[in-house]
Amino acid sequence: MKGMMRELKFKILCHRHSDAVYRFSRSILGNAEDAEDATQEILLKLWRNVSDVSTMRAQGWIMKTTRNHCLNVLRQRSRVAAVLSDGDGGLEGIMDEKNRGGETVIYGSELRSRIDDALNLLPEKLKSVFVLYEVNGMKYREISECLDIPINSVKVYLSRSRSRLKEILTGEVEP
Amino acid sequence: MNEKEVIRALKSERCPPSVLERVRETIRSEKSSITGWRWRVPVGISIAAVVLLLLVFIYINGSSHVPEETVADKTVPEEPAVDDYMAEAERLKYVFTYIGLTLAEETERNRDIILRNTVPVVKDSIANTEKFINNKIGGREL
Repeated sequence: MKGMMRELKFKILCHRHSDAVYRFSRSILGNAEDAEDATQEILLKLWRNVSDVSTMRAQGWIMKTTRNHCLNVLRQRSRVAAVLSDGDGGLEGIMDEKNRGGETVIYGSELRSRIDDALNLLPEKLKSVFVLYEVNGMKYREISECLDIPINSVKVYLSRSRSRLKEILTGEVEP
Repeated sequence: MNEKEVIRALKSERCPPSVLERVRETIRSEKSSITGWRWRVPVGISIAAVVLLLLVFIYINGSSHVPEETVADKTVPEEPAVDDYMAEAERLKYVFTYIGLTLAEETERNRDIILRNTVPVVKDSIANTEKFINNKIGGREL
């Protein structure tokens, strides 16, 4: 009975949150390939911990885990980039190439890569607050718990992220 | 491109089915490594040993004495023990969790119908069951 309940709970949580996990990790990591790997990792973590995760608080747990995982990926990425950039022209250029070029070839979405570029110009905290609030529909309180910051800071970050994004997008339209 | 378009584009994004398929495959392989043949052999032997010991125990006890059946056993119906109620309550708890999870899943598709028709019925059932259980087990924690 417990095994069946576990599977059922996982299935429901997966059904409800997998899109949000993918969107959030893509906005932090900046490309589809890494976001897919991250989403897979998070869903497997959810499967392994599903019995301990309360259904009511699952969204917070999932988003917090997603953010921590993505930040670890970014840290590893910057370590690798630092090591490789000592020798030659640097990995960042290659990675940017991969992110941009690969993206358009695989997904054919120019709009999406422009959005990635715009979001990549936002600091991580502003980006996280923006995506969690505007895209994933979380409330101020939930975001504050997820990011471990006060509710007032969430409001400030949200307002800053909106104005920064507006500036970035306006800059793109009028070069 | 403006902020609204960005939000709309991001909202329309879905997790690729290939990711969910990879997750499903990994879980399946993890599960099969637990329930695979390597585990089945020792588990099977253990179960067989327990059954054998049980049979021997029953055989020895059965041959030494025959249980007496009194008139009282037949006439006085026994009230189920509190533990039986606890077990039944535990089972009910699972049933209601199952119903709750299923409703949560279905709400996404048939929100209005479920909120209008199903939720009040389930809420009443839960309240009645809670009252019944509390009367029977006298406030013991589940």
